[in-house]
Amino acid sequence: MKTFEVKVEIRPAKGVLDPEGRAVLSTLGSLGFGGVKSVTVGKIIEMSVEADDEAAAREQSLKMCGEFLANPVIEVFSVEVSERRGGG
Amino acid sequence: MAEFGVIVFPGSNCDEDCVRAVRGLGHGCVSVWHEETSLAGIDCVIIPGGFSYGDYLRAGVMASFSPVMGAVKSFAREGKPVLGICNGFQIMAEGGLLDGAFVRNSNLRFVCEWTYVRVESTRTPFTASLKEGDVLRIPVAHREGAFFCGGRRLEDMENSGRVVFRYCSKDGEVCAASNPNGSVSNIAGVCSDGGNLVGMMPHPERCCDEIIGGTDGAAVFESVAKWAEG
Repeated sequence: MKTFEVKVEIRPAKGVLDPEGRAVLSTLGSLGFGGVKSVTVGKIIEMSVEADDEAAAREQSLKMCGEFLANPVIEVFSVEVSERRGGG
Repeated sequence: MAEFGVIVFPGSNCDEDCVRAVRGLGHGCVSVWHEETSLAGIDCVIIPGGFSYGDYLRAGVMASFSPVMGAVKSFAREGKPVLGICNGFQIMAEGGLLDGAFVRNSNLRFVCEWTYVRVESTRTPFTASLKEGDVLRIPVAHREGAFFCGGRRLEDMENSGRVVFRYCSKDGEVCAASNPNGSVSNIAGVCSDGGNLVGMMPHPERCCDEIIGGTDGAAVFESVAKWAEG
């Protein structure tokens, strides 16, 4: 078994109300950052996952997202997997 | 006499209100801890409001995996009535008992106020004694209260008569001004295909007694009690 670092990014799906993103956009505007045209606020979940190989770690992580970590009605997600290097 | 069961999760905070409201109307009611796996003897399940598991990850998702939810799903498959109120609605949506999901209120604030809802469907046990177009005055209290259901799913929901309540004005007009949280199509409550499972954001248990400002919520509990006593 190897240990993999998994980073799951979850964002509001297109067309879903993102009042938090809208509020951040509006405040950025009032702080003088007029160049910002859109903001999306999501969340990141980081995990250490033991698996035989990277493909297995990815498969498990995608399953976790589908069943629990993300809600496909309102969110989209992406998964990044990398093998942990060094002595951990 | 109809026997109600109110599910209690860590973080539920409207369970006692539900028990009191239902008993006050003359029905039997027991509290059911979330680790229970049997709902024997219960005619109607209520999943109450609150902040189960602190609303971690997404409101309702943790509770939707509790042991008792397996029993609730079996109960639901038998065609028996289940009502999810507020966080209970979120739990039912996360658990796949009802379509849709919730995001934060469009104004980003916790909204705690009286609302009016129009009865859109009487095919559920909880609205069978009401009439389409009836307007009920029931309070809401939530932060993640904006109901969302997209595209074809929403069309299906509308076309199959699964919208049960819509936020409206005092006179029953469904308009943007009467929508407290940014829910799509002013949706305040929905039901399952079979009609026996209902979720609603407003709190009927908070208006079953004149002393706390209203009694319109009683109609929801009386309706299902009458249905259960059949």
